[in-house]
Amino acid sequence: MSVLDPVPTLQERDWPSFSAFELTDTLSSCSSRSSLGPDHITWVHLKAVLENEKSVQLLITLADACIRVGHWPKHFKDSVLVIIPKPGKPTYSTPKSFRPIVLLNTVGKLIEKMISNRLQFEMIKYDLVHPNQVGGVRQRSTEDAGLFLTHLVCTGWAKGKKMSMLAFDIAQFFPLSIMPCFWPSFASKGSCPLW
Amino acid sequence: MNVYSDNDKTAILYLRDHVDELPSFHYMGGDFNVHSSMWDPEVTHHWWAAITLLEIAADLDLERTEPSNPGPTFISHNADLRSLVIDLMFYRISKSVRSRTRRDPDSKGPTDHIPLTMIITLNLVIEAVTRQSIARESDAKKAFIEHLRTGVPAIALGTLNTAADIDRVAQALADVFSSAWDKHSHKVCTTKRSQSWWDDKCTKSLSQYKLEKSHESWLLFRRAVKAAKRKFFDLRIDEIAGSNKRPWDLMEWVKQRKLPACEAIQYNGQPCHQISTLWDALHNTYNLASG
Repeated sequence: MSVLDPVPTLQERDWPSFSAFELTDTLSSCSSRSSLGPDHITWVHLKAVLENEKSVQLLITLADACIRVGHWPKHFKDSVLVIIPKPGKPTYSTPKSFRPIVLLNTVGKLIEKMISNRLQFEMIKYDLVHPNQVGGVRQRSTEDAGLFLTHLVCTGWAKGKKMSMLAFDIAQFFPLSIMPCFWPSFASKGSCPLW
Repeated sequence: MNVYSDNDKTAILYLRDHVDELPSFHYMGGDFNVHSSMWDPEVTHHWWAAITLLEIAADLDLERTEPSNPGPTFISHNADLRSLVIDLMFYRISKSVRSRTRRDPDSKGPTDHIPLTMIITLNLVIEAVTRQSIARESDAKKAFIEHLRTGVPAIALGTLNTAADIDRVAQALADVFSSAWDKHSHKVCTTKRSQSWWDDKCTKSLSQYKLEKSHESWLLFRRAVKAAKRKFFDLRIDEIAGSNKRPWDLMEWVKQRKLPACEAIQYNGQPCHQISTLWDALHNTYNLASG
């Protein structure tokens, strides 16, 4: 199979409703120290609220409905933009010397994290990512990439070859990844059966 | 901006070379060591240093303001030397009013320069930093969490089959959060001298002392401060040692970073002085796939 062959489309998988455990498990891994968004609700507050069974059910129902209907409410998209100067720059006259970060509302982030956990699980279980992809996959780190690279180089040397490397970086990749291409590739992997 | 330019005109030369990179100022003033017939009637010339200085000021949208009581600003301790005008004040063009600036020879003291005063209007530019906040470990905080605990489960779910239904529930959640915040938060004013350990008792005992001005109330205030500090730092130590286990939060390098010196952000060779142009610069740098 070459890169030009079409990727076979996998069969659609079910998307079961979220469980209470998924929610509490996701919530327990959230830092109590992270900055708050425009709703002023921190993870500590949300943890206190979600000790109540009824609140847990409310959020799960809401999360399931978001997936089922295919709608992400505006409240989850409200954000505050904070611009932080990067330390130790010789000059602060270029925008690149600053790092903007966006703080979102907590409930939306919780549901996003639940969805992300699901996708991480599916990705590994159904073998959806390329084995060489390191970014964005849990339990794979830069060290793995470095180890793989040194392994390749050492293998080459062992065969008595000269090794060279071409590295490139795609700037602004996320804004470039155009949605019309994104969804079909997502669907071909058998995900998102509901919209 | 305060300026001191030595006899070699170092600061003037520096400003001439960097004037495009500077943000807009309300005021510029200082000892420029520049002589000119423009401000000193004893001088007969108007040479390049004075011309350059005026050009720099014009580029910064500033204009020299003549004191309402003109006269020398430098009176040498050596009585044989002539008094000079070398200290200058600049203010926004169109706003420079003569009466704003004056020399104050009476408060000169032992120095050889005469103090200059200027009234600068900073309306809406430098506001006190106020924000809504709920203090940690306070009753308001407990009430805030309790409000959320009762408010969230009380939201009516109904059927969630359309986008409008989801928006309704999300909005109800947002309303509970914002009403709890509005009800329990209060305005705090942060100044340079604000201390994180300061509490209500300190405020009360301080106002008591200001009323009575007695030794006893001063002691009470000191005691309140000591108690507040001890309570705050014991909590901090407990938190660092027990719950978050992050002793490095006490190190310099995780503390709030000093902001870089005032510098205008340049985008496409143009300095950005307005919020809208700043926004465009950041947006185009980080969000737009412009290739």
